[in-house]
Amino acid sequence: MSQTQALPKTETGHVGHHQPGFVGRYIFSTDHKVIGIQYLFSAILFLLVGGGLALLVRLQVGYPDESIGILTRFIPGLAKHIPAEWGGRMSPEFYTMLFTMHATVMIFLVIIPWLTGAFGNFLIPLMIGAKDMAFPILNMLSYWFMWPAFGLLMASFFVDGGASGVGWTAYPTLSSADLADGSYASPAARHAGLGQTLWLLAIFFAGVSSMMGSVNYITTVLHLRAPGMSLLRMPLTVWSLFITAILQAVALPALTVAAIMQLSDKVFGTVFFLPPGGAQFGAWSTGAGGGQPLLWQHLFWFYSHPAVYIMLLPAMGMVSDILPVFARKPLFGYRPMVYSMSAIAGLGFIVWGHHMFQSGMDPRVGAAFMVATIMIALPSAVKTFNWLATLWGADIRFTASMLNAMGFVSMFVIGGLSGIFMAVAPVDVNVHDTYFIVAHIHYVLFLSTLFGLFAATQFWFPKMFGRCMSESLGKLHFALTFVLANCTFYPMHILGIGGHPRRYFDPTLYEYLQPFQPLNRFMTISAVLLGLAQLIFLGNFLFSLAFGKKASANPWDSNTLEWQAPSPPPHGNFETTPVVVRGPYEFGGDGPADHQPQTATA
Amino acid sequence: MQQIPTQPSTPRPSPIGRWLSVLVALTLWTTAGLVIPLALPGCGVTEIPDSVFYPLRSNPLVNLDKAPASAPPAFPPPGKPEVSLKWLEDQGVPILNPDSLEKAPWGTEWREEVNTFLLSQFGTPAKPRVGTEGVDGFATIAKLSETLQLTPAVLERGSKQYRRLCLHCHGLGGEGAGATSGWLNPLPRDFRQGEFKFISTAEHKLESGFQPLKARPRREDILRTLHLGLEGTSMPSFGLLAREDVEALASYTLHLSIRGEVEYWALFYALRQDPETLKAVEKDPAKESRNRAIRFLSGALEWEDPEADVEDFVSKAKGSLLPAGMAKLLDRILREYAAADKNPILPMVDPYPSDQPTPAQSLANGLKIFQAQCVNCHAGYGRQSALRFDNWGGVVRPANLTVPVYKGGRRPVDLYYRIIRGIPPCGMPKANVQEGDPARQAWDLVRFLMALPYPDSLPSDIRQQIHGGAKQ
Amino acid sequence: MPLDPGNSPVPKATESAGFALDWSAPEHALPLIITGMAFVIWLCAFRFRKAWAAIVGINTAAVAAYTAWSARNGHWLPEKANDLAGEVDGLFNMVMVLITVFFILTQCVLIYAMLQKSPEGGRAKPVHGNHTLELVWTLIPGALLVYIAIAQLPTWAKMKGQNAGALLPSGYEVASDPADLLVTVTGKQWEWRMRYADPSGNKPEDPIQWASTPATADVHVVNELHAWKGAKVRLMLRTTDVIHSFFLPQFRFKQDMLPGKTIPALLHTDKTNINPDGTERSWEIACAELCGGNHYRMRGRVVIHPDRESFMTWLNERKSGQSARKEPLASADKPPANPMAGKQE
Repeated sequence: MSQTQALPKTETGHVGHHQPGFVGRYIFSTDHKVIGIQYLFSAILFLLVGGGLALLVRLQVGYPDESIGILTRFIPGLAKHIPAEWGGRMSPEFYTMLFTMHATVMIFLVIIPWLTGAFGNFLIPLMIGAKDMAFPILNMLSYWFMWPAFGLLMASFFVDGGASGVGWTAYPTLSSADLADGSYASPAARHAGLGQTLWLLAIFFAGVSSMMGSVNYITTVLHLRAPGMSLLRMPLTVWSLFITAILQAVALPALTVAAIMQLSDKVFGTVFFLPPGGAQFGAWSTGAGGGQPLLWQHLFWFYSHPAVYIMLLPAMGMVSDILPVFARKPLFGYRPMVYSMSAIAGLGFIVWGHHMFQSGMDPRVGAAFMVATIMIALPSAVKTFNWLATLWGADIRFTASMLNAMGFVSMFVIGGLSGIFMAVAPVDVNVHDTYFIVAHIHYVLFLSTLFGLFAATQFWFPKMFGRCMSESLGKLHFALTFVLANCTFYPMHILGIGGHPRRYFDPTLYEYLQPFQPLNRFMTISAVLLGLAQLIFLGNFLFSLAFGKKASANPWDSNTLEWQAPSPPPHGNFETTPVVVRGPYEFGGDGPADHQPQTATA
Repeated sequence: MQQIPTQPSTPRPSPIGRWLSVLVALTLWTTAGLVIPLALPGCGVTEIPDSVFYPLRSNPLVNLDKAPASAPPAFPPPGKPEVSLKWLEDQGVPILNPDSLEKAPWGTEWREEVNTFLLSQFGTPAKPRVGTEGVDGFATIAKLSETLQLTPAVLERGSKQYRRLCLHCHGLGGEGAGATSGWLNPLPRDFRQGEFKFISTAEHKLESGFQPLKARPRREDILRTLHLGLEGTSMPSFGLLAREDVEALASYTLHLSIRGEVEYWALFYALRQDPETLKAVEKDPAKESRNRAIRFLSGALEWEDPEADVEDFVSKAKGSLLPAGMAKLLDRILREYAAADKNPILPMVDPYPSDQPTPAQSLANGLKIFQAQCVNCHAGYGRQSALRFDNWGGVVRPANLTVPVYKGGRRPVDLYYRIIRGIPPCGMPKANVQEGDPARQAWDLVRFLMALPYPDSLPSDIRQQIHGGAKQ
Repeated sequence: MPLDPGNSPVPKATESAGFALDWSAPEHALPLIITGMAFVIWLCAFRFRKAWAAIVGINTAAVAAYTAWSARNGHWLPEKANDLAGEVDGLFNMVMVLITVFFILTQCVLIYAMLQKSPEGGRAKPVHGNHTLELVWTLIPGALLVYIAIAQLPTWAKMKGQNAGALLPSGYEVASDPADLLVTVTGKQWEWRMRYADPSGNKPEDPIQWASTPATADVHVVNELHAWKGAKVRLMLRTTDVIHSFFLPQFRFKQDMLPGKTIPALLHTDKTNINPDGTERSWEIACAELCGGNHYRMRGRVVIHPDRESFMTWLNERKSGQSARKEPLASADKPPANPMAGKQE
């Protein structure tokens, strides 16, 4: 196992630590670094799964009549979704399963675990000078609660009716309607039966996992900081993870509760989301209800809008840490950065309604949400300006990590600016549920967050494994990803403006969408190439684990505390508790060194 | 330990690493150039690959010679139509499983002969057709398929549209078991039995004096369903398609239906024999094929004088008897469809002018007929209808007539057709309106049915009876 | 289970094996060319590290140029069917202009920062921030955003059925409203069932009630929304099963249908899609909320007749077709003279 090779082998003889066995050290480990690395490996694995699903979605949209029958040779279980007698064309239901699972895997098993799981775990104790997390066992549980989620999601493809195919938003009654006889069969859609039940359980596990993590982060940041590490001396990575943890701790219960409600609708026959008249599906009927489908949307978006920031803030924080290191210049506006992150988090709680302008929610409420939503653009703008000001007049070192971080800044501008359309309710009504939204979320989650993650992985890899990732391959990966991701996702804006609804199995059925079909094919080819480009990253990652250049303790000449520990840090992180004397961004200037670590006395 | 490196040690790529990366990159993109063409299949957007064939029939046939004794307990659960077949079997209704043909020593050979015939006469999804030269009686078959608009050009167009629009519910061979069908109720129609529910064909005999094998629809009936869909089911409307496409789809539906029916009868009469008889036949191989053919044909074609006619047929037939018999069957089915088109129900003249308000007497008469003839199945005006089996072995519910949703169409004439002809595959009988003034009786019933869902249009006494006291 | 596929003369169905990606088509060749460009930049950057600015620069230019090209070549907002669509597009364009300025500005700063010379002595000035700058770039965008927030309110109110000039929308109630035509649209998996109120003039007293209990004289149509130019159409949106979203791209209209609820909406029709020569410009209805596997199949057709008379002709034709007592095939059920063809052949 390459994973185990790269982990620290030296024992520090730390007082009070018994010698754990192999399982205790590398599998059910309570060491925050091992858990962080476990998260990292899992997330990269899931990234491949989620990306593969996305490619199938793209293939279908670009070439709606074509065969993907070749898949059934590798996974015979899929034959029922890709029947050979159709000439290997996928079924419309399989298509809905694909995009539902793509979103679920990417959000709950890639982005959130990679950001808060991998880097949150690895970096928080190291950056604040702590020996470990506040609750190491809770931390371990949090990781292992993610696996049932993944297992349930993947298993659901092979259960009766297939995986959930009702979109990651799982709107009732499509997702929740069940027959009154208590069977698992949903009259709304075959894939909204047992598959959807498993999906809800998976969301429940992922939610519990994240909540355990966030409680841990909050406690750790508040209680375990090294002497001198005041809140306003914390690196922005820690700040962003701290704010994210608060967001998660407050918002996630809403989703978890909503998932339990829908689960009980499906399993116990409650009617939280079923309207009084019930629902009719041909000769099927659900029986009378007493609930409201709109309730789910409120509960869901009360979590899922803050979730967007959960998926973005840590990347912002890490980029804010990476930019000054390679710009050799202090971060511009540390306090405004902290304030704007807090403002994003605060406002993030009262803007969920902009997902529901056309949902049948009272339009007066819509007006209120619209004003709140539009103001959330402001802190994001402030952050962008501060990043740009950080780069202004700097001596930029073009490392792969820095390139990805600058890619983040560049692409976040597009993702952020296209969000303004969504805040303008009359325009949002037009672009809602079209490809414009798909473009926007991918600019935020793929081109921003994922670039942040690539930057961070490249940046902290030496600290994690004691070796550096290849710079050349890293830069190649950046160049191709940057260009191809734009090719894949930018034209989606244009499709959306033209009114191309998302989640269409075969858009060529519509006369007004036919002119866009070459564009769809262009995006599909780009997406395939984009997927291939990620193999460079994967190869670089695995190759460097074993053969990468040996890294010193502080290969990037950075200031924050983790670089004062050896690479990789031993169990317990620091030999002596570090004492912090200054903020994290003291670069440049006319002193003897161009950077001043947080611990060093002036 | 505090380490403060004084020199910048940003990793710089070594020359070897650089060229290695170039090499890796080039390899990757060469691979990409190869992988994409292999992974992405062709661009022929509406072309159907030649390698796709109609599937062999594998699902059970319901032998309706014996009617089920009791009603089904419920709808079978979504995606499990086999459950209702099990219910039927438990009641002693024979379920004929094509797989059991294997038990007969000649079963495989029989299947092969049937399949070869189907492939030669009906083609593949890419090249569908009805009838090819070299089969007995080809001249009439060709002429009939022309009349029924079953020419290869029309069918090819229909096949393409079918693949895009219909296949995922109705399946490649029209078996009604496509990927989407799983949870639909009512299930998508299985065309392969030659039966249609909503027809406007008058009862008639063929020129030869025989009854049609099944109640045949008119082409207009299929077109109506395609244009308007079947409200209350998952069959949507295809009225927005180009006229030619709808026509082509109607033709293709007929094609699938005819193909399926020929297969159906060929399997049905092979399977209906009990295994003992089948074995007895085996002992005399010379008689075997003849017996098989006789059994099959005498069952399907209802000869007037089976022995003499069959002798005649056998002596004239070239080669194997089975294909010859199937060709004869195909010819007969085509003739039946052609005859159906010529025998529409001609509605009797409505004694009341349609632009005047409905007389209360008419509604009262209609109510009387309804209560005498319809309430058995449409209990509580359909609100408490009991479920029943249909000819496919599925479960249907007699319509709730207090809701203005009509699968077969909402025009008065549509209701008239249902009353006069019934819905044969679901066991809905035709209404008995023969005595007295048939036209008045029929239209009274139609008028009553049309007023039934709207309390306001019923006289107060009838309203009281049907909708209770409260005015809606 | 087929008998024994091995013995069967009918070959087993297989997946398509054909392949013919047309690499000369721009949509197939372009991604490869663009990939090649990125590759070249990567190679150049070994020698000139500032070549990295080119990748951001080219990307910015390409994005801007491509957007402009799309806007000029019809890959843009669909035709406007009413004045409200014009207002919505006005807002869209306003935001578009603003964000274009910000986009170009920020990308240029980024590119400049990448290209700039190293600071003297190799050390940047340790600037930690600047209050004035922070204030400037908080207040200016802030003011713009507040302006956008206020500027859109009247359109939003109008969209939700308020009269022009109102700043805030009202709730979903049907006032004694001036609608000329009342249509109930019922979404179901997977089609739209339209029900037109009695055209002879007896308007239902309570439209909400009428939406759920049909009347005898209603005219039933599938997947086709008809009205006439200048009509105010009151749509009563319902669904029998799951959430659907009634999307009319040309009207910039989109409204979900909620199970258990009847949602009234007002549709203005200021333009006809029947050309003077009698042909029809295709305006389509789409579903914008995932409603099951066949979500993509909920296609409908909008016809805005040039005047009320031709609309009434159509409606009466439908009505008489609906009460047909004789004709084997109602002529009204035949597709129109200029049907929207399915797929181009």
